[in-house]
Amino acid sequence: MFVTSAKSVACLALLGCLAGCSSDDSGGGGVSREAVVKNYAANLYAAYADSVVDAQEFQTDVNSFLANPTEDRLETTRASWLASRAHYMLTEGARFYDGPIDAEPQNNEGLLNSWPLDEAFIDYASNDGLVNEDVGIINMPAMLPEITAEGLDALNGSADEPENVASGYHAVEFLLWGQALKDVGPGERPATDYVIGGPSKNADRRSAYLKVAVAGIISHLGDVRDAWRPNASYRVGFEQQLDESLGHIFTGLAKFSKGELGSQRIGAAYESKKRHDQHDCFSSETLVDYERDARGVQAMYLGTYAGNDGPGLDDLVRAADPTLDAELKKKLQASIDAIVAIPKPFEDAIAGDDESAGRKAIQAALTALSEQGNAFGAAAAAIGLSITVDDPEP
Amino acid sequence: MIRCLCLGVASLVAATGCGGGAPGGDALPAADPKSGGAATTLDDTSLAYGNGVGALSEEQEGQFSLGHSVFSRAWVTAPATTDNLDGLGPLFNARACASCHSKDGRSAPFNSSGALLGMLFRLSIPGVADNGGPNPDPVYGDQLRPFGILGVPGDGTPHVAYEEVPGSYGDGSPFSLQKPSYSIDGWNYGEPNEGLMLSPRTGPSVFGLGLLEAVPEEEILAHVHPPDADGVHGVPNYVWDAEQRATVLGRFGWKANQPSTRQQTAGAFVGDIGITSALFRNGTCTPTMAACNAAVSGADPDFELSDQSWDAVGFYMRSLAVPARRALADRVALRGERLFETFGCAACHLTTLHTGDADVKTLAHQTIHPYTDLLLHDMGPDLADNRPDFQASGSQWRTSPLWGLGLLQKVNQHSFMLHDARARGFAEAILWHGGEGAKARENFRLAEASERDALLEFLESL
Repeated sequence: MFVTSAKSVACLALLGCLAGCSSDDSGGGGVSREAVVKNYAANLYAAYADSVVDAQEFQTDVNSFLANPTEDRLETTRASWLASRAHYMLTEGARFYDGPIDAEPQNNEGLLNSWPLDEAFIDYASNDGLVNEDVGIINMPAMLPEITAEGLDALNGSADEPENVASGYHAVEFLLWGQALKDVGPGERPATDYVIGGPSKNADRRSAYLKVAVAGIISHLGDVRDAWRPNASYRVGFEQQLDESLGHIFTGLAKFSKGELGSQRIGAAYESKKRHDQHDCFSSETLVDYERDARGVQAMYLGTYAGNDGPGLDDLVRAADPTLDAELKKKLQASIDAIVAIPKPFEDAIAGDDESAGRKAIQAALTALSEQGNAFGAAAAAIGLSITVDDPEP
Repeated sequence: MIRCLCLGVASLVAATGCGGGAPGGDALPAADPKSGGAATTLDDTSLAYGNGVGALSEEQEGQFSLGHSVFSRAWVTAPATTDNLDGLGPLFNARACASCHSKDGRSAPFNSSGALLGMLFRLSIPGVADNGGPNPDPVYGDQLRPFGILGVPGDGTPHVAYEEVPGSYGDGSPFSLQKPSYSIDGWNYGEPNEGLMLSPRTGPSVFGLGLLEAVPEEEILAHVHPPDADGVHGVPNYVWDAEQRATVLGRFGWKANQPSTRQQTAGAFVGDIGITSALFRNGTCTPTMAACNAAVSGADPDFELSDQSWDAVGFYMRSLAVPARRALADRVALRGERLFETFGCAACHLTTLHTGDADVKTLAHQTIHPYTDLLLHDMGPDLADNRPDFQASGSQWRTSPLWGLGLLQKVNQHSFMLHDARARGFAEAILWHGGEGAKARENFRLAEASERDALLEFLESL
């Protein structure tokens, strides 16, 4: 859809109106567009760098679990998985503009965070209580004789099936928790699945798979981080094309708020009332991640990250339209509050009729995120940019 | 802040003069970016085909969310814990809508492993079915399904071989077209009928369908006329509407053999994924396919696709916005646009249509630029599939919409075009035109290189 605008990046970038549309670099309030774009890039680089470190720490716990696969260590490793996503989730507002995270053909996002996934593509799975032990890459060596990172990436989305997800956080989540077979609560995979010579078939391949999948996360996060490194060519270009980059930033925030977090991660499950339509279906930690997502979007608007409070989009919007900036800030906080107010776990909250406390809370979050997405469109317009707000691809 | 009043919604057309040439003289009027009227998106990224139209109600936003999710999700073998997504097959082409319409776009003929799975093969034998449509093969039905669930063999495996056919432009510069020949081996249920006819068809993009559906029938039929001086002669297809139980105007599909997005959707679910619905309650196993008939169904209780999901995925496709035209003031592209008219392309690829009433505000009463008349045209023997489809003969095809096609490479990472993806880009697609398109093709082929380039530049801007 079109968003009403005054001067527009789309005018520059899409509609070829270069002549006569000179960019005004000072946004007002003493904060320049350049400073805002640079601060965004610096914060994003820091967040990806932290995500790599998170994943490395998680890897240590995984290795320790695989060396001695007890229930206690499995619990520790599960907690470590959730902790390892703390910074990555804060970056998700930086999607949907063909940046380093999701530009084709590599599409790191698809390799890192694809969901939902077909469990039986990876490992044994239960259908109506009948466990089929002979399915999935782990139990079918012919699919991938030697489990390597490259091999798993090649199988990701293989046969052009979007749910043939072989790698990334959610594949690892499934490997740690297993299928969630009850109406409420996480999966209950036993640690003995990783005991070689134990009761579960192919524990050796399962162990190798877990190890390789975690290494794959580190590697893809590293690629994204490196593209945002100071002096890396993508970052240099990003910091030069100021209006185009600001349009990208707003586009990512708007689309992620309304289309992805709202529509796909919350709205689809609200409509279907099916637990597997939530983001962290195996661990049942969905609402932890949704709150992080919303906080990440808020921080990107404010220009803050891990104690750094630099020049933000809010400074530009406030200079152009202080009321709009105040409203947008309220909406960002309202979305966070609405997500926090959803009773856990998410799969319980989506059940029932529309008057149930859980569903009312979810509907409130959906409304807040939709309004937030539209408000980003209005805020972009206020500083002379024109962006697309509506639904992106998952 | 300096304000260049360049881009208010209402002033898009006039305002683009800010980058165009000097007024007067030979300057061409700037183009209209709003290919889909109010249902246009400015997104020109790899996600350009996947944007919802604006002004949806809260209830419609919910439908869109669910529809998007159903469109993207893969179906699995029944029974499964994902009980709203089970019932795959028993025979199928793909597990998800998005398998063949990746990013709401157009499939390439080959998948990443090189298998010919990005297109499906319609099957029929001589004669006409009770509903006036193609007569299905008694064993294989009306579509080849290469896959079956565990224990159910697929129908067979399709193959293509290409032969390079050289040609040359008017100025002597050479080109080459790849001429396909198709075969199917490994028929798992015995040899097919001797008179079996094949029609290969790729999965088209799915944006803008709500606009095309909202074009009133009278406006489409107003473009039906006797052959003009170039032999152009669009005719409507009339097809069976299974919901209304009546023969009605066809609008969708490569031969306009589907009357509505709802029927197209339900038809693709049962035919391509093997998912039954309220409209098509019977699966596609034919009587002699024992394992197929014995397979567990995901029906709950009568069919597999809930009405809620069917409504939602239909709504999703109807409310995907059309990418805006780009390079609006580019003189080469604008020259190409003029040549599109003078070469005769626009005789079938109609520049402008209008929508009537619609349940979504941004789809109703819009002026749109789909570059199609939604009618059938004889495209000559080289493109013919020689398989009739309702009123469409073996050499007639529906004029394909061209909007958004300039972003195909960016969204789907390929530039294959035409019904069976034989053309490697716009130029080859034009050069394959025969029959009613022969005159326009020759105008292009014999034009000087700068004119040909200009036309291609125009198409790339769509």
